[in-house]
Amino acid sequence: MYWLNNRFFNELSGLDLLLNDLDQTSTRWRNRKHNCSTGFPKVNVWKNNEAVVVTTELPGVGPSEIDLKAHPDRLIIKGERIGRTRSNGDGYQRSERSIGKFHREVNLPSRINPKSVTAEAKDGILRINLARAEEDKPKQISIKSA
Amino acid sequence: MSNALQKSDSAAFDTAVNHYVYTPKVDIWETEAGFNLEVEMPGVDQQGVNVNLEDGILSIIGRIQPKDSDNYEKVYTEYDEGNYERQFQISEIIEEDKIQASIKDGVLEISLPKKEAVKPKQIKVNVG
Repeated sequence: MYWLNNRFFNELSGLDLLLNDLDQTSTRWRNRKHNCSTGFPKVNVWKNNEAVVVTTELPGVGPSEIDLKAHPDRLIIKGERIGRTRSNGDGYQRSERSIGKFHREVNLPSRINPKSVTAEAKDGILRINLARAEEDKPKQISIKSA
Repeated sequence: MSNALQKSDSAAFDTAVNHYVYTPKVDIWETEAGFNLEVEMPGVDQQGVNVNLEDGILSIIGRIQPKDSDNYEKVYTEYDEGNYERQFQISEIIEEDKIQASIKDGVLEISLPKKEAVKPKQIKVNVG
């Protein structure tokens, strides 16, 4: 319990980070059937009849540091969070944020058209909109009365 | 203390805003000039962030924008969205009037300069 002895910063609630970890573990368990690679960054996937939407949390990563590639059945999110250059004189008291390269492949729940993909980064959240391929969109079947 | 624990408990569900409340990840480093914090709060913009100092307690609150309810169906969820809260007790060596904060790409930066009296000083040595 290093920080309790710290003169300058005394965290008022240290238990929370443990609870966050536990929360992430349970999330991985909940999603195990989807057969997606887990890791950083975490993603949420949504869909409707027209599009698949993938959102991901990338705080501190600018658009120029993200490399996106869309395939008909999967999305690849690559990049690097460089972070600040640390000098020897800095005394780090907490270092919880992740830095370094990331590579994530997401299996998409529907085939998409890689030519109509848009992405927007705002406030550390990247939102990717992928139009579903015509042949894979759900079709409304009309029922005739006999 | 017990109140602070309750308020920033990551499993807490804030019924007033219908969101979970998370403990944001933070980097803290010290230089001769002061302390610096970087707090990760994805989804929070300048309007949603609140930094408050009272009785030596630095409170950081980040509120995400309410979602537009487009009719998408959830397929796969790895992270939940929610607000952020975290508190730190800061020492008396901080110059409270000179604390500055800014937010960019979901990362809040706070600088807490030290009081002049506690900064290291170079003493010039004269020839006797």
